[in-house]
Amino acid sequence: MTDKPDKSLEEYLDGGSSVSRGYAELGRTGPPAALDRTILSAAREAVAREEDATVIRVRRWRKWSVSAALAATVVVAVPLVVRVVDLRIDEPPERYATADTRDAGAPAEVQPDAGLVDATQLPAGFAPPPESPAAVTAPDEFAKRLAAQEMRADEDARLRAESVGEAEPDAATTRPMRPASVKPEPNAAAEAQRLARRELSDAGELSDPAAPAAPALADADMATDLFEFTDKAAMNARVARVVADDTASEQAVSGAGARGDYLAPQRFLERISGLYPDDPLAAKRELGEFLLMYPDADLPEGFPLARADAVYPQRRIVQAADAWLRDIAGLAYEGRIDAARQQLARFFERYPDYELPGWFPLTPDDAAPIER
Amino acid sequence: MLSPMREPDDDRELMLRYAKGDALAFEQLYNRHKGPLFRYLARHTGNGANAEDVFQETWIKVIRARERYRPVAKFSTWLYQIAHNCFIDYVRRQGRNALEAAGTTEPDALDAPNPGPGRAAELSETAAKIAAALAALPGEQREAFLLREEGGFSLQEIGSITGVGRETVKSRLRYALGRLRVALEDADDRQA
Repeated sequence: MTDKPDKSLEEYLDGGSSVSRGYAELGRTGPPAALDRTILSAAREAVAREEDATVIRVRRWRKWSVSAALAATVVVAVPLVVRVVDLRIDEPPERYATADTRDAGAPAEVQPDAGLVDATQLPAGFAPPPESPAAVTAPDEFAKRLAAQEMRADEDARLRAESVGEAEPDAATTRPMRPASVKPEPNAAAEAQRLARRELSDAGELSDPAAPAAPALADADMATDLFEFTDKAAMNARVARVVADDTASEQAVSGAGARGDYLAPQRFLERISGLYPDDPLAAKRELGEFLLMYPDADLPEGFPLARADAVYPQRRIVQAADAWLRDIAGLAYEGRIDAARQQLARFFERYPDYELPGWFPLTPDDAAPIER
Repeated sequence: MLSPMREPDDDRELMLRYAKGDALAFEQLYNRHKGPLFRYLARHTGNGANAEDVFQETWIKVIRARERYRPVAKFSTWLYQIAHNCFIDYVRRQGRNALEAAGTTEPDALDAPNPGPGRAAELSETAAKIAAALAALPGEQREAFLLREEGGFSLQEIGSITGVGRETVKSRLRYALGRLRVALEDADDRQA
């Protein structure tokens, strides 16, 4: 009974039914054109409304975008400005002046640029070679403080010489193996050398066999020790990197160009000689750099500048003191309190008015009296 | 002759494009489906004006549902489900009023659309017989037959659209075919 209907259903589903052919005769009518327009119009309007809503949302955002941009600028700029101001406050005022020995009698002029300090304005601990005439030229607070330090240091040295009757050993040295030989007062060059030496020590390169030969040493230092010589030889290899590190910050000031490259002493001097006629100030700065790298080098005859003409970078001095404090703090953190206190006392002997930074773990009262 | 509605691969893509704001995609989609859908509704309701109302309501619902559309099934299945639901709503609305006026609550009273004497006169004798027999079919059988003829849906898809099982659809189609075949045989006999 159900076989026949199922068969006819299958026939219909396969498309071979007379019913389908009969249904097709009903025609293929469609909706009226007006209805088409109505529906298509409704579809377009719906999309347009959505786009309008999107545009409104975008416009609303644009309305606030200027305010948001201003707020973002303030949020970024204010901390930046504060940071820059803090940095400038942290740095000592930098005023540069040269003491031209050829015009020793005339008042030295204040140089308009920044980054270096006149050799004569250095504190006693950083006094350049003794041929430098005393000529305080920067009439600002820092210069006065430096001059006061120098006077105090000179007075101390005189008193010590009177009481001991002989030259003081190098107070800057922290190596017990170093003999207490007669040394000139530590100067800026020696301090920069000490900084470089510390870096060498950190890097384990003190005895680098590949280090270039040391420059010629002055007689006084030739009498020190072999360690010193080896130390300097290694330093020469390393000092190029030290200079390179500082180049980024000082290049704008010095205008010396690619000074980060290591220059042999002779070539360095030749370059300074070549620079002097066109830019005497730059040549003096270069000489300061040279003397920091080679503190004991003798200037050749006919060299257009004297040692006293050298303009030293103030930042190096601050870096030296800061590095020493970090060494002392390291001792304290290692538990070597007594050594740290003694070093601190030596530090204050060198920098009597130096204000300890906030991060430093000791106070001035912790400085142990130095037994002489 | 079976006129199965093709389900091009890009039907769903067109709908998705329209959901993203492409009005031209909707136009393509509409032009592709408007004829079969309208005939399905017109021959199901038996009233052109009512069919237009349901037809418009169906497409308006498609437009409003564009952002909720998910291409998990054939677009045509989704479209005819909406049309089916709109037709049910229409029957309920019209049936309540009509049945209230007639004093009955049987919605089946609307199951017998009348093609009208003018319309029947325009058709061939076979077509007129088919139209009359189609109008005389119970609504569920007529709907199953129209979905098959106009939409080209399978038994399973017709069941999915109308909310019944495959065997139920099969039974409805079987009865519809039997009645329509009888009508056609009568027409053939008369012609002979």
